[in-house]
Amino acid sequence: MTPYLAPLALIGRGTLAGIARIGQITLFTLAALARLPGLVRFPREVARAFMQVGWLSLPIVGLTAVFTGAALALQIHAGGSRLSAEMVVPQITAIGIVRELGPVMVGLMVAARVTASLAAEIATMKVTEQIDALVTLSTDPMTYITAPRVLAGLVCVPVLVGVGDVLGLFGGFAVATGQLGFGAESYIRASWNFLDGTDVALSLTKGVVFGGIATVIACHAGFHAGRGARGVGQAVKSAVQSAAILILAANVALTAAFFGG
Amino acid sequence: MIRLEHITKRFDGRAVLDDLSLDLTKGRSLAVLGRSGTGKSVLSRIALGLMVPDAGRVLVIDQPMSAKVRRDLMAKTGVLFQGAALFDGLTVAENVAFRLRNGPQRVSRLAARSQALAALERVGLEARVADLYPADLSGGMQKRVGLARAIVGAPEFLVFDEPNSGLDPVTAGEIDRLVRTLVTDLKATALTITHDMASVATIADEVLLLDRGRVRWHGPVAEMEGAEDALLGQFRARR
Ligand SMILES: Nc1ncnc2c1ncn2[C@@H]1O[C@H](COP(=O)(O)OP(=O)(O)OP(=O)(O)O)[C@@H](O)[C@H]1O
Ligand SMILES: [Mg+2]
Repeated sequence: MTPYLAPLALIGRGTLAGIARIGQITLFTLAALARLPGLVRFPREVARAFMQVGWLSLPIVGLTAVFTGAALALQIHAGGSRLSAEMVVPQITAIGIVRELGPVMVGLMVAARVTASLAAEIATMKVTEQIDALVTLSTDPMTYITAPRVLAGLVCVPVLVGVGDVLGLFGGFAVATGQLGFGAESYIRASWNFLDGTDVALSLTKGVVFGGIATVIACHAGFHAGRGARGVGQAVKSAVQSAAILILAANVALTAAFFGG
Repeated sequence: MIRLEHITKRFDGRAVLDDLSLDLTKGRSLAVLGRSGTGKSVLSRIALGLMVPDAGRVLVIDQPMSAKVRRDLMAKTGVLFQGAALFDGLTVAENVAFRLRNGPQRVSRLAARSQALAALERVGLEARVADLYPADLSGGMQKRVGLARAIVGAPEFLVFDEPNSGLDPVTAGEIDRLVRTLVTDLKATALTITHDMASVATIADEVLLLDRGRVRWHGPVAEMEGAEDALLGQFRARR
């Protein structure tokens, strides 16, 4: 090959590998979803996954949301005052939190916390042959390991987003009433009247999609981990990176689908 | 029962198994010997359908390995992995009873536990360890829990990857006799990987010496003594 073409070849190869990986992950996702009915046999694994994905993520999600909501309200106030539009703080904060920042912050926190820990756990099972051991014990690893975690992602993350939205709004409310001189009742009424069902639907839809991405990517990376401690480290790194990027990309796509046209 | 035909397996271009053929006869116990890194564990994984060879095929009772054939095989197979591969989130008893509770049979909790305790006793572990987690056990104890998990449910096909490693000589001798008893009692077909020449005579009917991906020597245990193979001689000398 001529040297001029080398960079092109590199891009081409990268693109092909990317497409192959997307295909792989799509098949993996379908396989996981097909296993969901089989979960009736593993209630304990389901409960454990819900704890791990949902319940234990609440504190960090809550804190992130409160701080983000507070900062957002301050920024909108500062920006709005230049146009003498300070009074839009409740409305813009509400939209900003519910449509965008709530789901995105929760999605990224879940990618950091849940994707990392699931990928590490499953990759360790892979390198210590526990996944092979499951097969030899007549238990399907996709049903036993992947399906409970993906179900937990699909169910818990929208709930986390809901909690994040409420706490984010509370963060905005707290600084607006405490520092920016808004009245409590009028602030709440202004936010409430401005939000509509579509905003909430978008927020929760994002939660479902992000939860699916965070858990599917973690399981896929864990199942395909290389050998030894290095394999585990690689799996965690690539899972968190891919989950974060896919969540942000899906966020744009969903926002465009709801409000783009 | 299981037949490997012209199996080749490569990692990064290097052939770990090279055109290897092998027949595991029903009811016979085979010991696989070989230096570290010659592909003994890889051989066992291929025989179980956990790893796909690059060339050649695996037949289970004359049927080529497939997802369904593997599922049927696993239903009557017990495996001890080299690193024990215990589930670290489950207790010892839950590990041992795993197949009974989660496999197709779905034995009741109580019955599964009593079978698990019986299996633990057979490998020389006290009931005391049943409610500990694998991380609380020594390496040799973990190995024995793995063995107990493999033998629960009376499997017909047994694969043991170094059942003796990390055990004191007394326990090792007990495990050897246990393997022998299991094979005799269950009329099981067994594939045992070992470095321990002392156990070969107890455990096995046949011996296979693997070297650089090929079968170097294969024959009945009784003929091993007289065989004129330099590597086999070295193994014998270490007894
Ligand atoms: N999944 C894998 N990827 C890459 N190389 C592998 C893989 N599995 C095994 N190998 C290589 O194949 C060779 C044989 O490995 P195997 O584990 O079968 O050895 P072994 O005979 O069981 O050795 P030991 O007695 O030390 O357990 C080794 O060189 C190992 O590095
Ligand atoms: Mg080995």
